[in-house]
Amino acid sequence: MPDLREIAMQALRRNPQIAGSPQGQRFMQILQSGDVAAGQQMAQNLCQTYGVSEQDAIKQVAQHFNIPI
Amino acid sequence: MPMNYSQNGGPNFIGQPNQMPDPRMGGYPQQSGGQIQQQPFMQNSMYGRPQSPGPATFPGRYISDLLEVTPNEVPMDGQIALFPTKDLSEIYLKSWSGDGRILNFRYILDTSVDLNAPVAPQQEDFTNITARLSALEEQVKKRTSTRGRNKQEEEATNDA
Repeated sequence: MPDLREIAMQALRRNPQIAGSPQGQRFMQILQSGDVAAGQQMAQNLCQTYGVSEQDAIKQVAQHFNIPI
Repeated sequence: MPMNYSQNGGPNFIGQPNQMPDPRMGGYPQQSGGQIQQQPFMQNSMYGRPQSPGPATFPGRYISDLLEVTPNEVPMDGQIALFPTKDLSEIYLKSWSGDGRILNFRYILDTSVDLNAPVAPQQEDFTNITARLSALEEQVKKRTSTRGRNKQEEEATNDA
């Protein structure tokens, strides 16, 4: 099982535009601190903003990273 | 990981909308069908030429309704995006916050002051100026008549 946290941090570092954004910086903080609650809240906010359900979001993430769920 | 749930199918990494409108041109580019082209983030560093700094521009476009705006149209790098209504009565400002939500601000046209109306001269300024001129005129008349009387008295004394 790949380390999703590490994958996410690497992807953020490779994309300086997002890494430098307020959201990217907050996301890095969450990843580094391991604050699950804050991460969940952020994910919920993003789902709400994009108008997708959490289940659909999880499916799409899993599909993109080729992770079986 | 913030994802763009695009209309193409699976999620893509979010890039920046490639249409940077120039407010000097008086408008924002129209986006057909709500599609936003995404640029690979490495494009500029590998193939792009160094660009000279130009005037600041903001992404955005004219809208009929705020509901038209999709999250993809707000850049993820923290820049603000401006969405004026077509009748220019309102401007909506959108920007991603750090917690995964988009902040919305609404600016409304102030019609109480017409900035384009020609400036009329202030009537009270003319009244003040007229009063001061009248006072000056009175003083000049007084001095002239006083000087005239003094001259007459001097001549009379000389004759005597």
